Amino acid sequence: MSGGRYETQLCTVLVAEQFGQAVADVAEKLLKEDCQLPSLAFKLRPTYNMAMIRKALAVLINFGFVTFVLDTNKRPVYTAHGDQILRLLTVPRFCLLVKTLYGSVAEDVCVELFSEGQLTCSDVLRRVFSRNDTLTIEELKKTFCDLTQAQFIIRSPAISGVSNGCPQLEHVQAPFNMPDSIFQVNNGPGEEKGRKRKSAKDEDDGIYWRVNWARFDVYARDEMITEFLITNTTVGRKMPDICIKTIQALFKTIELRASSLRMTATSPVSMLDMVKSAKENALTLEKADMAYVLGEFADETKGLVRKAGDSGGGLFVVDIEKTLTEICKHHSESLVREQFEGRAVRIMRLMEERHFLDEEQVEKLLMMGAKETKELLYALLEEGFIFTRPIGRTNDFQPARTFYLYHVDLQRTVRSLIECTCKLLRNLILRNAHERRENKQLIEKDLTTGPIIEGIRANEELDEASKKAQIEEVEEMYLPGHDRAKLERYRRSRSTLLAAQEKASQALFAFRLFLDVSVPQKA
Amino acid sequence: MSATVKEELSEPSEAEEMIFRIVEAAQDGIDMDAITLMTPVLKVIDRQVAINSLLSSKRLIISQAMGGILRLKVNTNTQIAGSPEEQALRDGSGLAQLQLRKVLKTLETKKLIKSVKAVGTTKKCYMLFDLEPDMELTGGTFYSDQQLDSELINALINVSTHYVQDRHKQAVQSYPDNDQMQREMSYVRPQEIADYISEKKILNVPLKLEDLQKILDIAIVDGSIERRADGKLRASLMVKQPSALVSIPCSVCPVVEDCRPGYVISPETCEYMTQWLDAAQQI
Repeated sequence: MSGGRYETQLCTVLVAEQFGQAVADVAEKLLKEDCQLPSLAFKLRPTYNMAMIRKALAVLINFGFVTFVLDTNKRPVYTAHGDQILRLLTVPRFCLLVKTLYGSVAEDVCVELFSEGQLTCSDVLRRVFSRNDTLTIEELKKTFCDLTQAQFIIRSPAISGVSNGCPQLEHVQAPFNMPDSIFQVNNGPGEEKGRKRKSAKDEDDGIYWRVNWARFDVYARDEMITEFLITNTTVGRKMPDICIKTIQALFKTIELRASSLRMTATSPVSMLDMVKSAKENALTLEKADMAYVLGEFADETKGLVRKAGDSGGGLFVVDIEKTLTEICKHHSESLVREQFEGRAVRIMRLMEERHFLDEEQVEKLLMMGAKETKELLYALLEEGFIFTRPIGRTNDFQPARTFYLYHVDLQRTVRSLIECTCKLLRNLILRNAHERRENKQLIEKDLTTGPIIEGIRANEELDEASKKAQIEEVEEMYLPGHDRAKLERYRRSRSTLLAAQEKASQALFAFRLFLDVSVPQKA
Repeated sequence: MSATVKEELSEPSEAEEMIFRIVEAAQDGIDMDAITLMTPVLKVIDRQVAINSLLSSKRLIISQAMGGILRLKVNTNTQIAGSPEEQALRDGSGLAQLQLRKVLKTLETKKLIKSVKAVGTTKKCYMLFDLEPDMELTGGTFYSDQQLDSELINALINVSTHYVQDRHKQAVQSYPDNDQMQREMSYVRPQEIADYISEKKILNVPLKLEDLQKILDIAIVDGSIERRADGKLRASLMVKQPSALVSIPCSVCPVVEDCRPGYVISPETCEYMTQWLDAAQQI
């Protein structure tokens, strides 16, 4: 299940960021090769002892990064899942999404699930409650139910038994059903109840929940497609709000029926259904606006949004595969433009259109000099944006009697782009960690200053002027001018790095999704 | 005396034109008897002279039709085989190199032949003076001095794109509320662009429509204009911003292959990244 070299490195860095070096080392070994516990211990000695490895494995399994199966000799084999580890990149987005959709309480619930991997419902509620006691338990429960109903959290499979020392997981029949009784609040709120419960078992003990990534991926995909359609059409730029709402309404309508990550195009959605779902989801949208926007999309997007029929006020389809292809093309073309020049992009586009071309044809069709054509073609070939296919005039493919046709193969390119993006992300994360290390003292100082200043502000005995003076004094003492500037610098760098990381992880998501969805070209 | 000379000069060319027109009118060629019937005014000898001169100037050719009848046809083959290089001339004529060079030079000064440099080679080709060199030799409108004039091509692409974009803007201005009309009015015929280019005198030779089509094809590949099924063009509306990946230094880093954490080139100490972060401070 391991990806390329840089994907493994990125995964290791991500795990190290979250769980520390020991867990990361275990994960790295597993990502490189599936193995059993003894061989894993052998690979990791003498740095780590068995107990540490076991602990690390437990952490990884808890978060769903590693799974285990019995091999033919009835010994458990551990497998690491790079794609699961890469999800760590999207955690902030997931939190933001849940927050915008269901409010900050839901975000707290998800944060708990993220930090613990999986939890029982009661535990989640207790933890959120302990952090924020302005909420009522009922409110919390309702939020949790909302999240399960929207399929943002899912039940983890329970252990049904043990065979040959390996736990067997049972199949969850209804993964989104809430247990009948959770965290019954019979007597009084607050602290003492929590303490009591620690000894007694919850009624939903053993029913663990985790974040449902598949659902999030669908949502993230829809969001990505929407964004692409908005930024690349005139109508999208002219009236972005209406366009976003329209496409949201379209995706919402399908969500109710069936929406899988692997589908290549949405099923045709009629305008009437969309109007209905827009109403249900409280999107304020006029039917006329919707019709106008959809018509414009169908006209302008070259088939990304299509009109598939006239029934029900017009049937519309979003071609997901095509849109993802466009997104990937857009990324790769941008990279080519940056690395080479505009004419290299021209060559790539020409080849997309004409498929197989030799040097001379490219030269003629693009009216370029022989020398520069050759240079650009070779450079593109070297960077893996175009490929050659040898056509031999004789069966032995003798070089003198073989000619080479150039062509583009987006899937191959995207595969190498995934590696590039992984490396890029790894570098960004490492750099961020480095900056953090460099400025550790300052950050700590700042953390200590914060409460002191807060304390002064809250002090009611002092008047405004003396408060101000004291705050200034504290600030000067702990963080003099140049330190403050340095800290500010660090903060800016961090936000730049994080923003870039976010963008890159979105691109990575698009690339991976494209490979999943698109049909491989026939060789 | 002078009158007879004039007559002799003018008459054969008139006869030539007459015969050429007759042959041109006949689709599958025409045989000698038919020409004789159709040109009763010409003397036998004049007719013969005219046909011979037409044949030698390669305006007409003789082709063998079904049943072995010889027919005259208009020569549609524009590519004339006779543009040999010096080597071929030497072999063909049997002259020594020095002699041949002298002959060629005299012929050139007398404007009977001319030399042409073909695209991509440095060798000279010789051809009769009044012939137009074929596209294959000159490369077409966009070649100057046997070199592809890429600046001219780029300029033409830009001009065409701007023209089409201007039309789109005009359409938006004149029909601000009507999208259908906006769309319809922003389509442009290629001929309009050609007219615009010749009007603005960007090229000093007349631009052929097929040359312009080639230019437009490139602009279409670039994605700046789109072509409709009926051949009309409009400015492309799918304007793309560069991908966010590009802004990250690693994506265009020349030493990215050697970059490893903890080594000489490492993300922690990366100079490009420091520059990038410094630049981000100012925003």
